[in-house]
Amino acid sequence: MRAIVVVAIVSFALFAHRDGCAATRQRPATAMRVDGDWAMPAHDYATTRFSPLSQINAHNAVRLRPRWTFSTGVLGGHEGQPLVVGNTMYVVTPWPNVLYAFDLARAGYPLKWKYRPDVSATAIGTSCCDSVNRGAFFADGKIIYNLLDGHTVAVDAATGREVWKTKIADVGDGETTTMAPLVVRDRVIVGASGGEFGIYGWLKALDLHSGRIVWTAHNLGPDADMLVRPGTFKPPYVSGTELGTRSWANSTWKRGGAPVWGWISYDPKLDLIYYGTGNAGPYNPEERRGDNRWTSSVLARKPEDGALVWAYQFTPHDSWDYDATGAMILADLDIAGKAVHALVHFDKNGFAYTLDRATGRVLVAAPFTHVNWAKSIDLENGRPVLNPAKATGISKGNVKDICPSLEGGVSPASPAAYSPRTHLFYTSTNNLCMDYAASHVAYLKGTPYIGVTSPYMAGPGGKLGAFIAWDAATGRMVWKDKEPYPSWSGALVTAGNVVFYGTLDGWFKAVDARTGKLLYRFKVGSGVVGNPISYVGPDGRQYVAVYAGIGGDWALLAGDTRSDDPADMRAPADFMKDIARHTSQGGIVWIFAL
Amino acid sequence: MLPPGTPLHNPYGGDATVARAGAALFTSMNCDGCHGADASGWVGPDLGDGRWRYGGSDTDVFRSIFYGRPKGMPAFGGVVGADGVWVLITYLRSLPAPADEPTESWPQR
Ligand code: HEC
Repeated sequence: MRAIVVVAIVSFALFAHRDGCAATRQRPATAMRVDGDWAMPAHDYATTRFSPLSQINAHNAVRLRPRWTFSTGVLGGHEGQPLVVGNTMYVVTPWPNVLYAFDLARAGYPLKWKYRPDVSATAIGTSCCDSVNRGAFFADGKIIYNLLDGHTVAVDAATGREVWKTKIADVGDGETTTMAPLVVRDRVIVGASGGEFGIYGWLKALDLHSGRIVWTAHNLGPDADMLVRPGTFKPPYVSGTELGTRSWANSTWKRGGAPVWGWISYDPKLDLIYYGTGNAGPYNPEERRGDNRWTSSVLARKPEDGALVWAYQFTPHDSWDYDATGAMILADLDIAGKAVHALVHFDKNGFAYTLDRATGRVLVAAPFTHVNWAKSIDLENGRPVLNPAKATGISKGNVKDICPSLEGGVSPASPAAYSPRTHLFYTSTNNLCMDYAASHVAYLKGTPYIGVTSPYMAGPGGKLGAFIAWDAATGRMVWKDKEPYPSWSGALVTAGNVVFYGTLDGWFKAVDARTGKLLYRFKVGSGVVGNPISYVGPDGRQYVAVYAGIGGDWALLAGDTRSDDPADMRAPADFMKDIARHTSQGGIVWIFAL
Repeated sequence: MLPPGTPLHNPYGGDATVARAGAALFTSMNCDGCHGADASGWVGPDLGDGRWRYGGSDTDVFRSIFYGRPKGMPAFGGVVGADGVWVLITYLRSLPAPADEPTESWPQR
């Protein structure tokens, strides 16, 4: 039943602002089969990545076959996911951020149009981790997405014409824009990357119709900058004013990071948006003593005016680059017989958290991968119970064998999925540990503000990744499919009880949602770091689409998978010597069907 | 101002003391954050592999660092001056001679 509720919310979002453009004129056809669309990054506001479609199921998934492919012409990490609205599929590439619109109603899916924005190449050097893009949002007849060089654009979904373009971030200050926007009513919510460049992190809302910036809310700093208003802000475990400056020694908040490069979710009943913030900078924690709020945190705000309602910090005084930018999935769970409006989050720090999404209080927290920086999470005060042997900083020298590594127990770029059928969460995970030697770094505008050497090694067992099913009501793993390489794709789960994900060595897989049993796999030409989606085509059949194109952190770490530049020869990663045997760069859209 | 096209020469070529100063400058200017700790490549290309996108002569490398390059290489001329650029180049030239092996192979297992 929840699936139907979710669909109703989606259709409201899509058609709340009709303005008579061609996309809207297609509405009758779209409306009849709206639950077959995938119109926002994670399918719905709850960011479940659950598809209510069930033509493909655990019995027939073995008959899946690739039906269509398209080369995007771009070699780079293809994170994010396509959108499907009515008879059109929309694809955003990594830099140079080309937007393609495919006509799904014609044989071979020819392009309706493509949009090639004028986007600066300078931003490539300012992106910490490859020039990726995490996708677009459809609303009000527009496709809305971020260009790497700090702009948000709205493009007419029917014609491909630019409706507005707004500068939201400053590449010169180390800000780039890789995240997927979220649209709530007439607010377009966006944020910026730059946790490795000493930015002063923020979230902004633009007006859907004009692109004008309506509010800017910093994630750290003075209450006035954070849109903390008396009587409105009620964090669950702390009180007092100016928490965003008092938790930083010597005004270090000014370059403290807290970027926004992941996903945003929205609860229409509470009228709250939820998003995670990234690491604190620089990586040497001794240069910014204090809890460093609100880095590595989840923040809940009012979409209308940006007012901060609550915030919870997963990793106080982040000393391991544990960004909390991963998805905040909203699900109604039964926890020990009590119905709970929960928010579930798999953090880079290796713990999975189940929070009360009205208050931010932690209800369940348990490790989903090998963790040794903390022993547990204290539910009384919400804080991790630290392992002092894994504290880092210049005075600590080279701290050995910290798990998880700064790639995360899961990458925030690899969002989990939730099925209201199985009541389980599905996510990629990594089994990597690291040494961490912090060093001093000076702030030089537009250059990296990092200061660490952090080699990686395999965690226990030697397999570098796994794809898992998780019960967030109890904090228990239900099944685990081990992977030879770090697992870096997002998850999709369907009402047919099939879970889809891709692997770094280029397999696209369908597994049984209840058992994890492999049902089907196909080698898609390049490692998968994107997120599968499912939709109904004009022919009434269920399709599954995914990008292949290894990149993101792997463009840096596994530079020997690159073949595009004869002037840049990289040695294989010593913790992962043979990935280039199985994959090289790519940029391919795949569509599968029975 | 030199006339355009005049080749530039590194006044410190081969000086090991200057190369060590260059290594320190490479870190303090955060070059390592983009090019990796030993210049072995990260967001920016490997600078020790003996291969160059924009040419490997003193003139070419000087221009890359002094004026920057379009795909994200900032201009450092205003920060370190011409002398600093030569110090950096002296460090890059001192990196171990690149093992330019065009073949990567995986023994049968
Ligand atoms: C913000 C990231 C960044 C910083 C900081 C940075 N670089 Fe670069 N660098 C790049 C990128 C990206 C390129 C490739 C540019 C292109 O292809 O247009 C590059 C290119 C170069 C090149 C040309 C390489 C070739 O193959 O021709 C040299 C030389 C170079 N950098 C040296 C340095 C030095 C020395 C420093 C420090 C003073 C430095 N870089 C700091 C990102 C950076």
